[in-house]
Amino acid sequence: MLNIHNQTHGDIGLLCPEGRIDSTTADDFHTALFSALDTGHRVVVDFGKLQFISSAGLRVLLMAAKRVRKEKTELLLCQLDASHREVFEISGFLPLFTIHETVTDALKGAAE
Amino acid sequence: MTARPPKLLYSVDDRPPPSLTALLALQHLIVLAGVGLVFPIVLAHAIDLGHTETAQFVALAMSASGLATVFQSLRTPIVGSGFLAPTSIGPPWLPASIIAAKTGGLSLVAGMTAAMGLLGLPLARLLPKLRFLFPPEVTGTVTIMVGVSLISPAIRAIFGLDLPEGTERSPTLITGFATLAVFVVGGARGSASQLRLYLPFLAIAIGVAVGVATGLMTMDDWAAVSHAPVIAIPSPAPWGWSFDPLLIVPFLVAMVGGSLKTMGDITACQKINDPDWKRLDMTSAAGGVMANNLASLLAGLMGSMGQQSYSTNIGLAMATGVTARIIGIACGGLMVALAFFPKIAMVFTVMPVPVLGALLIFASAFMIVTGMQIVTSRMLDMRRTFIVSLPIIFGLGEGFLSTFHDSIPNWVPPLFDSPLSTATILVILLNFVLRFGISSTAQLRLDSAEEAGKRVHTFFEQQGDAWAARTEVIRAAQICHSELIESIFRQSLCSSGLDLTVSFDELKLKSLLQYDGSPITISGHRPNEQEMLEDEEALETLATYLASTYATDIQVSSDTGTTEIRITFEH
Repeated sequence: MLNIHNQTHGDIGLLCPEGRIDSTTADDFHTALFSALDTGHRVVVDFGKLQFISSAGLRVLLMAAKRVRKEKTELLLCQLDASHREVFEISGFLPLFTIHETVTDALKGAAE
Repeated sequence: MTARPPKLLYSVDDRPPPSLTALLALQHLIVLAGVGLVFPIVLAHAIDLGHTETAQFVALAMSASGLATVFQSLRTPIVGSGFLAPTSIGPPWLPASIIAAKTGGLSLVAGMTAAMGLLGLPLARLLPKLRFLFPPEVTGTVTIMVGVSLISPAIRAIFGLDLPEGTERSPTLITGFATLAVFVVGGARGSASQLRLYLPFLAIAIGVAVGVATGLMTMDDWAAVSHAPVIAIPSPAPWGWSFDPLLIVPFLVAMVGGSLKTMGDITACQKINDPDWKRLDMTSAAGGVMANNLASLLAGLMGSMGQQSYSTNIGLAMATGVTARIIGIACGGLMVALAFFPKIAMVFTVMPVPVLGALLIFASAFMIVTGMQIVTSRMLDMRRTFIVSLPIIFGLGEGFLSTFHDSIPNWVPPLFDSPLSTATILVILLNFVLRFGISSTAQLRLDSAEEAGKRVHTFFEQQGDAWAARTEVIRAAQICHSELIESIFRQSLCSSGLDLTVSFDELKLKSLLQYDGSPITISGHRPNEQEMLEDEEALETLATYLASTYATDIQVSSDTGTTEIRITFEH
């Protein structure tokens, strides 16, 4: 089960996925994330209410990271708990993303 | 050993400069002596031992603690944890040693300690395999009751209850509570600083000063220090050895309690020194317990008390960022050397009794709270509630009611002679007996990919609670199984769903995944960014790589169209 709350803060898109991003929900996450990027916004993904992200979800993030590099926009992540960080670290994804502790920090980082 | 953790300046096998090694060895010695040497003095007061004999007893304790600290730092195939884990006289040994000293003098303390140290040598090898007997509810309860067992000597000392009739108690009360105030105020103000590490020593210094001001310390005490020889070789076992079978149980409880404490401390050392720590290194843990019990054997042979490692010193190592084991060898060597200077032992000996009382209250407070934290580290269902509470109730009952003994029928072996023994025996027995009847296996059927991940998560969460399994192991199992099951469904490897069977004991969590269809390939390779973006197969490589990283072992086999995946997690 995945609910994705979508907000905008100025020209920054804030995505708050709630629940699990796995094989069955990765497509929904892909749609929401890429729709936010389609608007040309810099996007912050808030992990605060995300219970679990599997390799399928990581792949969606990687595809989005490739796109923002190409389009010279920005994708920031925030509120990763120790478990999320560990999965990112083991997967080798940690250096590929800008990660902030709080939503406020991430929004500030995206605004700079 | 892996790369040095970023928070450490010098890791376990590093060699800091000699000046830093000497300074840190002295720091560790001060922290260790502030609590560890209090126990032989409390024992000496309990049997009204004279100044000279007490100083001799303290010097032997210093020698034994020094040797124990060196043993603990070694990394041989049999003895030593290979970590900086300074070791000294352990609190679990005090209640049993007081009983022994009162019934048979210091010879009985020495004899029983040596015998239990000897018995503890084979136990060191067995203890890691017997972990199922000592889950957190057992070790936590024993730790609480060790703290409780210190209350009686602590209160007697701080209130001067053993003073002769008619003695003015005000100096005792003022000195004791002034010392206790140093702990309370210093602990509250310095909880985040290094101050708390030196609190015992600071409290002793202030307590002695107040003792002088209140007239509790007399010229006779200072004369005892000045008359003590400058240098003397501690004579081992001046009181000989004796043995009393009736004291086997309380001393066995002390040895097991000390061994469990040391095993916990070695686990902490492993985690501090290895950022990638996943599971207990049994060789190091068994070597640590072996060092502990060998030191207790030698301590007994020398005429001293039993040993255990000190977590305060492990905290000091973390705070200074230096965990080099060479410091343990230097600290131990320094402690042995100081035992040759009787004036130092005499300074500890003339310490006012209420100061000792405050130190015991400090030790008791920490043991009780640590025990509570250990107990509540896992969910307490009804079974575990009884395993924890009944031993505490009966243990305290033994302590509160002097008629408790009379109510026990003659046919019951004389095991319940102190609150600590009563609680320890009961908690081990209850845990063992109430293990039977708990279902140690559980099954889950997954017919489709829909909600499979969520169901696997919930399944492991519920079973983890029921089994009181460690949270990190359950989380690893959730991630590993989610990745594998997702990958199996994504690749359409199974034709008609999956069966998951999970079994658990205190040592391992094992699972068996069965399905009709082709076997999955487990990858030991982490795909890079380019592979992940360009190769469709790379997602399955990442999924199985993650699964294999979180599990201790994964074996895949296939026979007549049925695939079996056996997964093991160390617990």
